Amino acid sequence: MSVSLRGSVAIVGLGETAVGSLPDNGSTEICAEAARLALRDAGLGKHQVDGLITCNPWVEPHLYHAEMFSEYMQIFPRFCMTLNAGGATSLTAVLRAASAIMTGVCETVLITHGDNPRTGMSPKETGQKMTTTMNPQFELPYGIGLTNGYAMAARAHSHKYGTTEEQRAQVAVSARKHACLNPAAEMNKPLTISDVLNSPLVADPLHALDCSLWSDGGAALVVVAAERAKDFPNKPVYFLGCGEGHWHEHLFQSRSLTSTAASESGPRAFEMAGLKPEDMDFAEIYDCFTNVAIVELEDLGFCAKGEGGAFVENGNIELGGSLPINTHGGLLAHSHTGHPGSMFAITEGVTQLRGDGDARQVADAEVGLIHGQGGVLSSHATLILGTEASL
Amino acid sequence: MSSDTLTSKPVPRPTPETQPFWDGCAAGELRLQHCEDCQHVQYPARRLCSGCFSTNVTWRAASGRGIVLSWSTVVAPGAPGFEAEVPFLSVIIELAEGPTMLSVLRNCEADQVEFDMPVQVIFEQRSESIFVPYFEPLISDE
Repeated sequence: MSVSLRGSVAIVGLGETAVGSLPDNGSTEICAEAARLALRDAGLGKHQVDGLITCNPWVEPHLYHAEMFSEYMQIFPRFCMTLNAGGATSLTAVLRAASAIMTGVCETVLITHGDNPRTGMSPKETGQKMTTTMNPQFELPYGIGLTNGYAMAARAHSHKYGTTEEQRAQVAVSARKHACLNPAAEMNKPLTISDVLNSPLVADPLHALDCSLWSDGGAALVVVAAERAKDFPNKPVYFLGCGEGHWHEHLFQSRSLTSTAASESGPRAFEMAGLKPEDMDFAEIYDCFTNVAIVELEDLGFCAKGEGGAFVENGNIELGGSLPINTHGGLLAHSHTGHPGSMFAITEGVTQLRGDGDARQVADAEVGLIHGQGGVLSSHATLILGTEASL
Repeated sequence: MSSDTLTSKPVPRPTPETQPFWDGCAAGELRLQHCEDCQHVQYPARRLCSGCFSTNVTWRAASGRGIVLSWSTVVAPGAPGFEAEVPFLSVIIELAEGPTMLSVLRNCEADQVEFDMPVQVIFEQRSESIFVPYFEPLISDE
């Protein structure tokens, strides 16, 4: 027997810390600040939280992170878990929150993720921690950088489908354009395609400006049953669908270099929501590198396979285009806080559906898609959110 | 790091299931697991066949040949000990027997690499007993 989660829960609180360099904060403090802001936004006291989902940060990891955090906050939940699917973590957290609420395990879930990899680790420590994600016998001994994995996927995509470096650069240029409209984003100066192409090759064919930021920051959400959604001060945003796909951990074991498990997570989310890609008013997708956004647009069904490069051209992915993506600036221009990175994609989606996007508001936004990717094109999770009118 | 280490590069530590692979490398031979029930060939080593979960899996010498699926130049190594070698070429290889593997392409300039280029295995000694498989362009096809 299965019960559809469509429309079952709603996001009624969100909190975002500042992003960028936060040298006076540890990762636990950032996580706490995001949680405080989300509970304040929802008008909730801490004793009303009975579910807690965290993710392990790079800085200050704990074997039992969620339990540590409940102790830190003196919250005593009956549903408590630490998740780890890299950049897909935050999306998988929303699905687990919905599942826990709808099975009666708990009623009010706080999802809070924060980290400070930019100021909390030296470049050397960052390098060392990154290598812990590699297979110790079959990857690490080659001394290959993490970015080279994404670069090999980018090159294979170009070879198979003719995707150009200008098209990849366009993803960064469009993200920057949106970030310039968002005072909370780290980057606030416009970028051109030639800026991207003239930036150093860090892992050919990827240039430095094809790569996302590396930031401190965190964000949090409060999730409750849809029937309670109107008891809170802000406009509720409803869960319409979610799907996941997990193909590998290490890139060399992937079923493909040019397609991802987004081709499974997307259709699963659309099926649950009863919607199609063309119904989406916007999408906040994972853009850790420019080529990743292009392959996700294809795999999620926004364009035919192989046509992602052409899809990002001519303002199509910008505000006013057919599918504005990463309206906050994305990982390329808002922030990339490590595992919590996708939280800002979700909070941006909620902000858009509340109609609070100010200068970057998507007109008449009723439904939006959020997608996260973890590992090296490994774990994929897709979430579809909507306003009350979309239910 | 073990006392017989010859390099500051990472030295793989075999586990019981991967020991035959590393023994093969030390003997100058790339070895792969073959499933006797479904004929699936796999890399890296596993306790069972990841195709059908049979435990009837045996080790065989592979051809040591494959083709390049993609590549990227490494200028910022992801592990210590490679500083003197940059730039070098990371590659994903499809072995003739089917499995894909990550490695580094040697004896080849970046502008000479091509998609589907045939390559063959060579080995780099890291310790008394550990030899890491690298690849180079296939020179002879005999």
